[in-house]
Amino acid sequence: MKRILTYGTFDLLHWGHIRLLKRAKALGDYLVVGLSTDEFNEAKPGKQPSYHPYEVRKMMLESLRYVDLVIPEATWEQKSDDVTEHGIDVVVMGSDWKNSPRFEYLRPACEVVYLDRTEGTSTSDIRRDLLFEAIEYRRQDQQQAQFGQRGSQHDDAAPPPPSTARLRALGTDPETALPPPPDRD
Amino acid sequence: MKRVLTYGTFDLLHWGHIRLLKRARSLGDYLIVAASTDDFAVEHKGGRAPYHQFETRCDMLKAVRFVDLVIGESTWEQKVDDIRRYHVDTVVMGGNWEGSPRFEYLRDYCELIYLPRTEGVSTSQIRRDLLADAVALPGHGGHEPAPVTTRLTALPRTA
Repeated sequence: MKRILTYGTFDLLHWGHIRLLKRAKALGDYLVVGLSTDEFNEAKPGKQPSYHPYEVRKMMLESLRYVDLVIPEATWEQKSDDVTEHGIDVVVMGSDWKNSPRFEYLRPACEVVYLDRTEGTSTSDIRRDLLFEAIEYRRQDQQQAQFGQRGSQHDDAAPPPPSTARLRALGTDPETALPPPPDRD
Repeated sequence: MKRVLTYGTFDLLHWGHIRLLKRARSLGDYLIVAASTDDFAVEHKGGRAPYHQFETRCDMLKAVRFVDLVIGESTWEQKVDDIRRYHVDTVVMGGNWEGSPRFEYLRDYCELIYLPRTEGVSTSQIRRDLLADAVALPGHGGHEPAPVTTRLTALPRTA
């Protein structure tokens, strides 16, 4: 039986993740996922904390049919131990890690394969897209409110910036949905 | 063999979805998921396009081990046909649909069960939380100038 191992945060599970896991599993018979712990993520400089905590990310990975075992990734140095402990034949990573010494040093112990990432899908893309989308809805909403108050609009100035206080309040009221965009003429 | 059917958009797959699918599957032996098509989601379910397009949402659902079959949902009226075609014994929906006439009439054709939703987990909640996160990022609060939304919205969007 050929055993595969990969590492990642797998926050906001998306098609890029699932495609990578599917292809990783296809390289062998048993797929182990080293899932970074919240502490490990937060220790990485410049990295945003994950949206979902470790336990939730773990349960979501376990619900995927390509994943056989989820283990915690708490340090950069644990990888050679993981390879030994779980009898790993191949370590698979996304091609953004290609030739990184963080993985290349494993080569005497096992094979290392880098798979191409799915173009345009990453957790940070999703976060950025949703932010732009929300700002756009907010802007349209405010424009509509202005039309309503003034009756007519001859103001060519840029729309007012979003009120961050109101935006934040949207996140705390479970009944408040962002409004759909109004029709544009 | 007991067959279970559920309906939804299943955009930005999250723990609430997975938990619902797991519990739905545990009510029988075979789980069919009807995912809203993009047009149906926009026209009938709140006017906002899902982040992921239909094919991607289907592929993601197929990766979930509790899901046996994924079909499309393109009209409100197709449900009786679905029940007959796939020999469905039980239709399962989230508790937010409890008592809705969109589903109650299905009791003439099969069993109907509403499962409680996972507290505080929904795609719209995730969308709002990510927005709040982004707004709270250093550099966009306090006395910093607010982001210029016309410039932000001019940036390319992949969705």
